[in-house]
Amino acid sequence: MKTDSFSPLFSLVRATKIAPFVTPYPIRISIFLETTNRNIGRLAYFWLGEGRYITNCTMKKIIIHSQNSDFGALIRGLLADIEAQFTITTSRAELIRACRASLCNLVLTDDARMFMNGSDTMEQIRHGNFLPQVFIFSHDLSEGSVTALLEVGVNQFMALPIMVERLRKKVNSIE
Amino acid sequence: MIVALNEEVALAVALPMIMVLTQTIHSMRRGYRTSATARCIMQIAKLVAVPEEPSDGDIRRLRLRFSSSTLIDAAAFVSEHIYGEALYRLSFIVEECEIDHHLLKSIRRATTRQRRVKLLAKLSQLASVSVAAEYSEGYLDEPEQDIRTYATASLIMAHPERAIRYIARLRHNISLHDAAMFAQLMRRAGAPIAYTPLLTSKSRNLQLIGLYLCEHFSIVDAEPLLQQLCESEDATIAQTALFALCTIQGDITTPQVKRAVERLLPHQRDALIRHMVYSCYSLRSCANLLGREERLRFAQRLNSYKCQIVCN
Amino acid sequence: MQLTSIILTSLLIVVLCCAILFAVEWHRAYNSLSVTPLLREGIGHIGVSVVVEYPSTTAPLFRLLEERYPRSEAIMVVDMQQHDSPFGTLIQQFRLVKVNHSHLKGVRALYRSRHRAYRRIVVIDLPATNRQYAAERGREVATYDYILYLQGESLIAHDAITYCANIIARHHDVPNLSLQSLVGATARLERASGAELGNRSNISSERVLAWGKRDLWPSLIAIFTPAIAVVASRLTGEKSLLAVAVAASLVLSVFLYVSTRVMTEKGLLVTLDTILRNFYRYLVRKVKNFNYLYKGSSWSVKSSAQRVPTMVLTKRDKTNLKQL
Repeated sequence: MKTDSFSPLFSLVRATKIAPFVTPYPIRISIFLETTNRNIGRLAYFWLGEGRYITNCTMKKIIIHSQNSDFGALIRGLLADIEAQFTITTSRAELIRACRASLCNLVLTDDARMFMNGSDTMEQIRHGNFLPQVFIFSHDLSEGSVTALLEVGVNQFMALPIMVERLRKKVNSIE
Repeated sequence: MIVALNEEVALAVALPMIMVLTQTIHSMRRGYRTSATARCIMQIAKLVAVPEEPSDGDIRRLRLRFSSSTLIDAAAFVSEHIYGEALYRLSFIVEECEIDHHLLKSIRRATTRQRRVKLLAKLSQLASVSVAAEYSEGYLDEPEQDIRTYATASLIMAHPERAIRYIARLRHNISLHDAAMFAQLMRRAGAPIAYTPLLTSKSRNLQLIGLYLCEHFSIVDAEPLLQQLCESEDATIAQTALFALCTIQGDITTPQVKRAVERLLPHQRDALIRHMVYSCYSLRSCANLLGREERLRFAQRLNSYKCQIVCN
Repeated sequence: MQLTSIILTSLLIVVLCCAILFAVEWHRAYNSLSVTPLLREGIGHIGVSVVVEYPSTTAPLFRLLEERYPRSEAIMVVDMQQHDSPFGTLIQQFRLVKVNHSHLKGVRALYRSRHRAYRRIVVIDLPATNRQYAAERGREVATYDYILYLQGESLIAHDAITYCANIIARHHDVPNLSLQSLVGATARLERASGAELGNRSNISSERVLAWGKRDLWPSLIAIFTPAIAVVASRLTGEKSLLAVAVAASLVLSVFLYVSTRVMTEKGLLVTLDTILRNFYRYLVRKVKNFNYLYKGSSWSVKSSAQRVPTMVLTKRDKTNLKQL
């Protein structure tokens, strides 16, 4: 599946282009609308370049990362009316870019392997003094995997299936 | 003649093009269906996440925007990934949108075995939120094994308290894959699972599920029963019990284990050696089970997990 | 010229029939396997060790680390002296340590990781001169019962190990399982026992387990054959060459159908060339079958004792053949 770019203007360009083989482009339009409604300043980011955009927004920033678009949509739907800005990413490069650009508070992902493949993803997500919390969803409850993830620095391991109330409570408690 | 030549040339060129074109359209439609399913999942998750019941307007919008097959796929995905009170709201949505009704209709209309098995698998995912799963009882006596297996899966999710009865009713021997699937469904459905009745049951299928659970959750209290099952007449049960015993690091110096290991074929003994090393047994504890060459192989394999110490 | 074109047309019709059979076999495997969901949790003690022989880059290792099935490991057989730079950094990156390897003949070093997150990585430093022993050394080191052998240039498909583990769990009773991908690069999954290698139940996989090296020649030949036949018929005036063109384009259409159905990550033409190579092996197998029937001689590979009910077997039951 083609990946979504973080930049909203770029998303608009892609959304209007006809791409036959992939294409959740209706989703990209809705993501674009969502981001422009909440973060009009992000258009400025596109022209200023990375690192120059500073947000004054006090809302929580949550990044939902999943290579399976269905799972990303599920998490986004379950957290629908929570006061937060959401960004959905489908590739790891996009996730790193989003983390660096938007100083997010929380990363929700089902991709546990990116922390166990020697790529130092956790160091890239948490750069400088900025330490977003990381929640992982997984079917794999083996002791080795859970311990390995906690050693890497994951804040919360959530087994699938998800208890909705518990997830919302935990997300709401993030500052 | 020129016209005939041109027709054949056109045919030679057009055939591959037609094939590529049809498959392109097929993959475009698949891509669109994937994005539609994701949107539907988001909508259903939004309705399920809030404590209030979905309004009539929300249900109407869902039914108008998405086709029944998309609703089935989305509801099955959501049902598989959540639990708790949200499932009650999901069951309300499933009932109001008549998702189970469409699914049952599709199952009845399915002409091929594969299609029916696929739809029964979907029904098993929706069984916790739909009363339609009870209708799969009619498929328990089908000649096809896969249909019987997935009908049983639906019934387990619908009536978890009767799970053991349904599994014992199966006419065929289930594979380890099916045992793992049933065990996961039973956990998911909240079925009361006790390993003792499963391991002491006369049904081979229930024993296999019990062994899977003991191994998966490292139930050390099950060691005496596992020792007994090592002497089972069924070779699969005996071998699985041996492996489960090693996983929980049980006592392998007993006469039952020794007799069971003697019955194994050479490649099964190799597999057991690998598993014993992986389960951190020492050579001393396994010495009386293995021959001389096997002990050497065990020691070499065990040493290959240890650091190489170089002394100058 | 007419005789040549008749011979060519008949050959192509035979190839077309074999191509249709191939597509039907793939479709049957696809239908029987794709219906059941993949279990992502560990299934009992079933595990798969993947042996990659002399990869030129670290890409196969990183691909294997993405694998979600918990009971799997990646065994890289490399020659550190030749490929020090890509694999030397692996040792630091994954905190690999040298472990005892005295029982492994010809091996310079054996590396494992002490770090919990990287415990699935094993690296064997075997000189390239001992290449023929790579598979054997991999088997001696493997932790799990089933081994997937891959060539160094192969790129492993997503969830290939999960798929293999699910197949193994479904046919756990089969003593010596051998899974071969019909539509991908040569990837052989076998039980990790040295004995009884001849007595195997072959199962055709409809999925791509691994992608091979890019080699477009089979695709280009297949694509240009109809065009060449058309041009030749125009130049020579032989109408029967058009029949050759039509037959060739029918064969190409069959493979394009299979190729577009399996295409997931790679482009259409790269998929087509791996399928065409597998089809060549399939043809060779059919010719050997025919040869056996014709001569009535015994075959060195014994038949499998147990028939797998839902899968497509690529080998016939030899006892039945002997009765003919």
